[in-house]
Amino acid sequence: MGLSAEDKMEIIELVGRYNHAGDVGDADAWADTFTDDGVFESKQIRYEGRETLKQLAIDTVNGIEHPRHHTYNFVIEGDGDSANMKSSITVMSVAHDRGSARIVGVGNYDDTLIKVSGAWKFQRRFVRFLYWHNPTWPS
Amino acid sequence: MPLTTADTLEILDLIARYNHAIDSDDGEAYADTYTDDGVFQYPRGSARGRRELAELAHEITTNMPGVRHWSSNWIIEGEGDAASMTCYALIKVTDEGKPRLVGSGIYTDTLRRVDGAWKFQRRDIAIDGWSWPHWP
Repeated sequence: MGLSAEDKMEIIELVGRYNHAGDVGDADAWADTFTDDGVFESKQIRYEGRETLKQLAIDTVNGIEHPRHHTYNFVIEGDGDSANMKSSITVMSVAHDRGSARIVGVGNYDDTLIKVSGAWKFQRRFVRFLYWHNPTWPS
Repeated sequence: MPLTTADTLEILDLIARYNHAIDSDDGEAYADTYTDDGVFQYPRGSARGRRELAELAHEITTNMPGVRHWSSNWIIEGEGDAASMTCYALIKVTDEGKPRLVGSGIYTDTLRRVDGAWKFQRRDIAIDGWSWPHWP
């Protein structure tokens, strides 16, 4: 059985909650979008489990001046309680004092999701940045 | 009754029609995305009702060449004929042939279903970055 429109819409809203929480440094709400054993990784880094993920949320909001993550081009496939998603990501940084917004990162995500007690969660997010320019973090 | 997926998709369509209308200088279509007493609140002012909203759309298009509104990260909640939404905004212009990112912000919206169609009752935009000389 493929995913229903309800499932896909819930997954798109999960992405919204993920970005809103991450960009204001709400580490608990951000970690809530993952399963308890959730993983965030790229070729260079790997964060696994709730406490480690919370630290990543804090490091991100401290490392990028006023971050704004925009995710789009969702391609979602799945079956029953598991799904895969591809999406595009553009990370903005907004400098309050200069009033300007600039692009610090452009890339894509490959995600694995599962439905836990009726709620979709990220089991693993793999991010690949094609462009990254943020002088302060990560070094 | 909580919102259905059909409701959520209709609200996403409403955002698309809103962005298309404001970016193509179609003040009437822009005003159509609001209830008759709809309000758009921005940092330096507000527009209320059809006439003011249509004028505002025209003023934005006139002063921002090739303006493009982009929204993402929708979180939509509601019950029956009332909904609330928060989402991100990015605003670009094309200045002397070059695309420029000029604005970033977050919308907080109240929506209502009127005669079967979802409409904005109120949109509040909090701007977190703005670098274009004109702001209506």
